[in-house]
Amino acid sequence: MATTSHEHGHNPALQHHFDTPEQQREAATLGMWAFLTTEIMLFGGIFMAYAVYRWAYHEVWALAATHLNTPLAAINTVVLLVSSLTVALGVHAAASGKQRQVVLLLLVTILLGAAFLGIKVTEYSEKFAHCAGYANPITWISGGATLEEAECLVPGQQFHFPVGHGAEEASSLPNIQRNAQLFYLLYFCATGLHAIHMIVGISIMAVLAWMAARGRFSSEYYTPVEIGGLYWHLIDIIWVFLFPLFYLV
Amino acid sequence: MSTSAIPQNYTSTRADSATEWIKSWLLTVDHKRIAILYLLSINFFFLLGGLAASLVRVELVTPQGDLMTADMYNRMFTLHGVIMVFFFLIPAIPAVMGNFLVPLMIGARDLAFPRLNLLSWYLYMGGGVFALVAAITGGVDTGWTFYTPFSSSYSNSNVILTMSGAFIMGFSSILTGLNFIVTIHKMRAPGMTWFRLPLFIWANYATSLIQILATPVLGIALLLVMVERVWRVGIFDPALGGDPLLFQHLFWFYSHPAVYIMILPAMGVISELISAFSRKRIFGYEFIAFSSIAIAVLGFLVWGHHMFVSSQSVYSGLVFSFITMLVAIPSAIKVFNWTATLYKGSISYRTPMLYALGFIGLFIIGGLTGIFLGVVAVDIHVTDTYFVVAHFHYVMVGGTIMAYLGGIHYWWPKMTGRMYNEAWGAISALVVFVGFNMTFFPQFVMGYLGMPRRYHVYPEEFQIYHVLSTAGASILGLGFIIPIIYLTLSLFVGKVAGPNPWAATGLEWSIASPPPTHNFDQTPVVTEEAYAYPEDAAAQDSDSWQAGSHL
Amino acid sequence: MYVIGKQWMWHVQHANGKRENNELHVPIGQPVRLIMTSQDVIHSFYIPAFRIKQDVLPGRYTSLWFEATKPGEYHLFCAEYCGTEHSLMIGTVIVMSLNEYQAWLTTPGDVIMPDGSIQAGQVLLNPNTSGPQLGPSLSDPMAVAGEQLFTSLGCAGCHVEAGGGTGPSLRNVFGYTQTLADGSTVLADENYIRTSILTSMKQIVQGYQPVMPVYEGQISDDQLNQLLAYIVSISNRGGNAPASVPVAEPQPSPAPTSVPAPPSAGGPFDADLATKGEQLFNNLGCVACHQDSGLGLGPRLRGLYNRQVALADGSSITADAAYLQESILNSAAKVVKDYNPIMPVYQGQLKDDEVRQLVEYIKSLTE
Repeated sequence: MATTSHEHGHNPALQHHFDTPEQQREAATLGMWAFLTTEIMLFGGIFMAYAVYRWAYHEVWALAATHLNTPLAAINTVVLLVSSLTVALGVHAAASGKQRQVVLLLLVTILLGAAFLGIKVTEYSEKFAHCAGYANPITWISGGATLEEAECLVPGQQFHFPVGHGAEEASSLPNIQRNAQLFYLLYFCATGLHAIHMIVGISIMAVLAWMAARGRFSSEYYTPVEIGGLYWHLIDIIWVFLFPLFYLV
Repeated sequence: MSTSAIPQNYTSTRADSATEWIKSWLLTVDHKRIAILYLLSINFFFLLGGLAASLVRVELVTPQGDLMTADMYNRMFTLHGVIMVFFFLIPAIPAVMGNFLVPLMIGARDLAFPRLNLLSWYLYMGGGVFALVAAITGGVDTGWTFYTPFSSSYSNSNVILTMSGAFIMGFSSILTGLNFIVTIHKMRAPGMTWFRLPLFIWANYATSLIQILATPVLGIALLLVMVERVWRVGIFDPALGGDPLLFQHLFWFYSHPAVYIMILPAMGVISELISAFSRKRIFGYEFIAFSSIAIAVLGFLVWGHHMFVSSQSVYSGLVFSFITMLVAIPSAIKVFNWTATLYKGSISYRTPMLYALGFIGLFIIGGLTGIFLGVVAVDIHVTDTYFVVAHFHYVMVGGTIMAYLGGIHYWWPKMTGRMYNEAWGAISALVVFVGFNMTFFPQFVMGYLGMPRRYHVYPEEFQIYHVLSTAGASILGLGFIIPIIYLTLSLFVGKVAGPNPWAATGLEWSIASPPPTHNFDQTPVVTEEAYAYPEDAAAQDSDSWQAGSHL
Repeated sequence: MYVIGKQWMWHVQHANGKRENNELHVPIGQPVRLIMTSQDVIHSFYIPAFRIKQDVLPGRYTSLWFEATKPGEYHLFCAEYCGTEHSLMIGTVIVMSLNEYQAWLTTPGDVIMPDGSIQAGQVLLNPNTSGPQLGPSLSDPMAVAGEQLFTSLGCAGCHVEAGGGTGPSLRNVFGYTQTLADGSTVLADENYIRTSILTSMKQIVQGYQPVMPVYEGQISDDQLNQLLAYIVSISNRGGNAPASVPVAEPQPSPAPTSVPAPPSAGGPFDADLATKGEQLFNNLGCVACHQDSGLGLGPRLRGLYNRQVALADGSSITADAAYLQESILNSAAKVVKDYNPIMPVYQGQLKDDEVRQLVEYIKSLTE
């Protein structure tokens, strides 16, 4: 990129097409807010499909949700909320120029994010283990206890929603298999899409932590931390909607 | 070839080897170079879509299916639709002219996020590769609208590949819109208040709002169809418990605002052209600016007018119909303002103006027929017929493509430093105009007579219209190819243009042609209103006009 | 008239059962209502000359109506892209005078029989049926076919016309607002009837249990149309139903379908207990199999008491009270000849006085 010569009296983080650091920061922030709006529209489509089918099949929806692992998801909710706190504290530390604290808080955030994903993996593998006929992932690997009643909540050819236990009405609900599969499909789509966003979010946090460790930020320039934090908060908010809609039906 | 008269500019590279030169273009973050990259790739897809259209039109010359099988035909019109909508019309004006001009018009050195801009282009190309692979390995036969349950359960074609291509292109569109919004908000030069912005900027701003809000919904709609195809779960297929109408709602919630993505930037171009070639301040500047925003907002509320006969309730049909009438009002306001600008202007009938005037007439026809379609009772008869096909081609080709061509010609000297051959420009504008009307006007008639769309074979009584239409299409095709030739030639033998061959207002004309990489040597300070032509510009110009003037 | 769109043709079913493919014969000057559905993807029924068009969707009914005013032949197109041969999914609408139409209706052609099969060269006739004449016509052949299906599929067992059955009576249901179990109300239109047949759980009527079997996948669209025609015909708001054009001359009625009963001995019975037994007989669903027409899965019980009964093992027995009691509690012990041993076991399910009530009721069933 050919440039005319000029002095470098400004912060090295200022990009050349911006006039002032404030302008750059404001641009970055507005850009991130606009991007978050698009993410909301993306998840909005899935929520719309969920709303339509919940209205159409509300009994199956309620019944299907009982087979989700609500305690684990509740723990995840707390984990994410705490991680949003650490992110907010990290942004505050960056604004105060406390590099060490920034790195620390970002690392804690990453840890919490990884914990969220870990719990999610546990939840998913529990479902997959049940499909394979085992009571839980551990017995699946070690070849231990199997399930008493066939259950496979992963959508696909082998999907089977257990109607044995629970109210007698279960077996009399028409198309319960079909509609329960729809519930689980939307569940996996929504939480899966969310998990992908979590992975992206953790990667962003990792990059930010590395940049902070390298001393790239100061109290004048900490925009990446700020907008990375915004992204993290969005992921958190989406989960805050997902959790009650799917688990607390 | 007088390259010495063209100053160092954004196209010059100090490259020691061919690979370095290629890298300097493929890894550029200069918005102007990215605009040129888009120009080349968009034109490629346009030609591909045009080829598909030619095959369709040739097949339709005879009532029987003698050129290709029904299956091939279905894939051909789907390819035409998918390419033209997703890979030409949606990106064209924003990605080519918007990318090049938005920073220049507001006095900035680049867009807010140059690297994101490059990513946008790569996403566009990535999506395009998916679509091409889908086309080459057999194509897709669902129509560009992908209605379920045909696309989710019955079609045996490359639905997922094509949808992935559109999905990826969607992200390109979102990032471009995001870039423009932030740039326009945050990077205007000192003194460039909102109401001093050129109307092209207002148009792109409104377009960008639509791009970021509507495109994700398309993403989800396509994603859910792909999921249904793979896992056979009933989201949209009634046989599996789904609702086919849900897809239509999700799809049209994006695709209606999408057509405003296509027309709003075109209207922005027209505002620039009308003003420059009447040598007059645009009439009703604020009205046109607010109309752009109004079209963007109202455009989100009318998607149901694509579904009047879909078995949605007649009451929702009436509501959508009413709002559709409303959305016509801002468009009409713009048309009246443009004609008022022409009044007592010093009109110069150069190629860009020919396209602009053509736009106004053809957009009126396209827009009015849109109103006819917005009336539920009329729509019941003509929906899914060639009447609709004619309507949208009038607004998209007679509207957007005319504006695109007009803009290309108007800003060609700025982008390349060269003038094109005006005689050939005028000739091809006329060829396009004649060919276009001959292609699509008969389609209004045959649609009204009942000829349904997406038909491979048809009853004999419609043949005369199809023959006329195909004849027109060959003329239209010629009209699109001729500019490619003379514009390319102008790069080598065109007259050197100088900074402001049109004597137009606007910050982009205050710098060299082609612009240097950093755009402005000094950040401009804006003190004048937009389109600040002198009051007596008309009289002045006719006094001072000389043969050989560009105007 | 009923229209079924499928890749890539149109089936039309007239009120008297006559079928046609890719053609639609209609009389002049009569309002014609089309009730349409698709068997696969979305199609669209389009008659340009009449300025009408309506998408035809799988899984639900959509409808159109028109009144043709000029004789002639007109195009019929499919107007929603539906796949490879979308362009070939076209046909002709033939508008003719009423006389010509009636004559056409009664010329032999393809006809769909109540069991779902399609027979060529037939005309479905109008039998005279007993019972009150309501709505457009119980002599409407589609409705008659529907009535036969109503019986053969066992609907009549629960949907007792007089009321008091496991399911609501369907007399005067079509066209009226129904109150559902959750308190909401819904108009019983064609789609309501269709959904209730296919997946009744979606909208259980207030005061009834959700025990109706699911018929989705069990019956064809043609059979659904016939059932719909029947249910419409027994409602006095069935006037909005597909117009059944009065046929020119009355047709001779076929032989009555009920099996003639052999002379029965009968005997005295307790009327009070019998009344209670009748309620039980209906509520428990016995009536579903032991139909009075004799066409059910179980033998007809009218005139059974004290009659000689041939059993499956070749022996013969008098159907006295003890036999009746044993058959209720443990039917497998003595299965009647020519019937399958599928009756449920009621031992332990019924109280003694309930059994007595049922026996008294059966005793009360005289010819």
